[in-house]
Amino acid sequence: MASENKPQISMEEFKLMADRAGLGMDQAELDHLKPIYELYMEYTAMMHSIEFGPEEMVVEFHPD
Amino acid sequence: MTQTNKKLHELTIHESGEMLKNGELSPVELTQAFFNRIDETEDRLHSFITLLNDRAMGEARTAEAEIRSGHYKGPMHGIPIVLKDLYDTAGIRTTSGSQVDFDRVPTEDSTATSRLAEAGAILLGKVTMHEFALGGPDWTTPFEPACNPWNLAHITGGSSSGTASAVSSGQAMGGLGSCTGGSIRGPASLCGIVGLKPTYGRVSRAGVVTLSWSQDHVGPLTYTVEDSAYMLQAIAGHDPKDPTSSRSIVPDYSLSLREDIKGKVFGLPRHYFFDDDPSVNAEVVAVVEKAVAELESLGAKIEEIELPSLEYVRAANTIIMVSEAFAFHEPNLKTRPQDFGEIVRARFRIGGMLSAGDYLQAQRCRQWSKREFAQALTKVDFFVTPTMTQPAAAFDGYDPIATIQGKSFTAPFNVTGLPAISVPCGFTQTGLPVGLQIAGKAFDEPGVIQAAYTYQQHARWYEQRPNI
Repeated sequence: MASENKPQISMEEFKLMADRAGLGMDQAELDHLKPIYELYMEYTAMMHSIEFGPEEMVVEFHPD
Repeated sequence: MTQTNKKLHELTIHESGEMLKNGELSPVELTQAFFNRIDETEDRLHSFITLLNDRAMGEARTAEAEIRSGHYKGPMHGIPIVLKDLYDTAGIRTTSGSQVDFDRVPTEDSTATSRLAEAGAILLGKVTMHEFALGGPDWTTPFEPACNPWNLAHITGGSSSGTASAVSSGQAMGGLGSCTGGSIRGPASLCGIVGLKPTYGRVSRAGVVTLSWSQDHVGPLTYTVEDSAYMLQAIAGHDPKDPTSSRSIVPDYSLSLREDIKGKVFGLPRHYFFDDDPSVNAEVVAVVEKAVAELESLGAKIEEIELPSLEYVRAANTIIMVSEAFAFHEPNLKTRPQDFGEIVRARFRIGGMLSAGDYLQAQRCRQWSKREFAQALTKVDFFVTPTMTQPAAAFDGYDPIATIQGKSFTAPFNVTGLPAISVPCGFTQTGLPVGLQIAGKAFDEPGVIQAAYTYQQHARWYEQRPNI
């Protein structure tokens, strides 16, 4: 992952996401996890930057 | 008594097989030799979580009686092995390297456990691992990390850390690891042994604790390619308990143990695996370049290929892994987070904070990569690459965050589910092992085994053992 232009998230938004996931973390845990989460944000940004074609449809439903 | 110049703990499965079969070597004598080796070395290696001396010696006596009465079962009969401590073993604690499962005792064997037992293997014990098959050495879990037999101040790699240290040091003839992003080939490469990740679905995952069910694979770590073939033979095949296990016929892998790669085409994706990159060690790449040249000298054709999805595959592997891990571990993560080690707790929590869109985009990336790799494999027979970006890191200064940054050379074959093997191909100047990775078409384990075997028989790195 490139470390330049590293994506960042505000602590307020990060806490909101952690609460929504039901993780019940205190402030010290949030402080520890936030920079690690920001590394993963580089990965998620990469995934959302790809222009997929119809061959990459992955949600399939087979009634049988 | 056995007639061999080698110490018993230095024999391979292949070498001991014929001796066991014809009665020159007793499974009891062999098993005791491995427990003696464990006694000599375990205080320095920390490979084991649970030792099963009495049970194993009982199994060895049974194997001896069976062989003496003419009921030899095959190459795994009487062979001392270990299991990563996430394989369920009925009545034997199975911790997954975590305080969360510290006292967990399964009531049934995993399918792989029972298939090895049916093949006559002797279970010496359950070995250490990175917690729940993720992260790195973590001193906030209850178990000491395993040390690399080639240099005790260095990590083994993981997550099948104890399997690699036990096999590399001669504490066991072979063992099973599990692999979601490289946890079989990685430690095999860093500890100078062979690691074989079969095609997704080739081996049942029933009774193996889940990390990421769509990317988890089961496979062996051994000293030689032929030994991995024997172990795979014992565990491969459909299992009704694992809906993802394949119904395709299991071939006889011993037929692949012949030296011939003349005319085979090895695709070399230089742009990802060999070009300059800050996360890749140049010395490792140089050792592997030499091994690739040796493949060419043996009659292989090397063709450079482009696989654009490689730049994204590590990200897809990671997102899918932690998302699925969160789904599996969510109840414990919410009710007893303090029982997880620091590294895994953080990564599993992140899995809970990723969105459905993130996960689905990663799965779409996976489809792209799978299609791209399959197309490339209509033009080449194999991919050849370094197994790892770096040699084994030192414990001193080890940074677990570094393991989620930079390239991964193993993850592409978890994401695509293709079979891949790591075979030793040399050492760094400081004496740390380097591995060569060969990957092939889905269910072409025979081809992958034959290619690796051909290289191994030419290079003969397996003849070197760590001095411990």
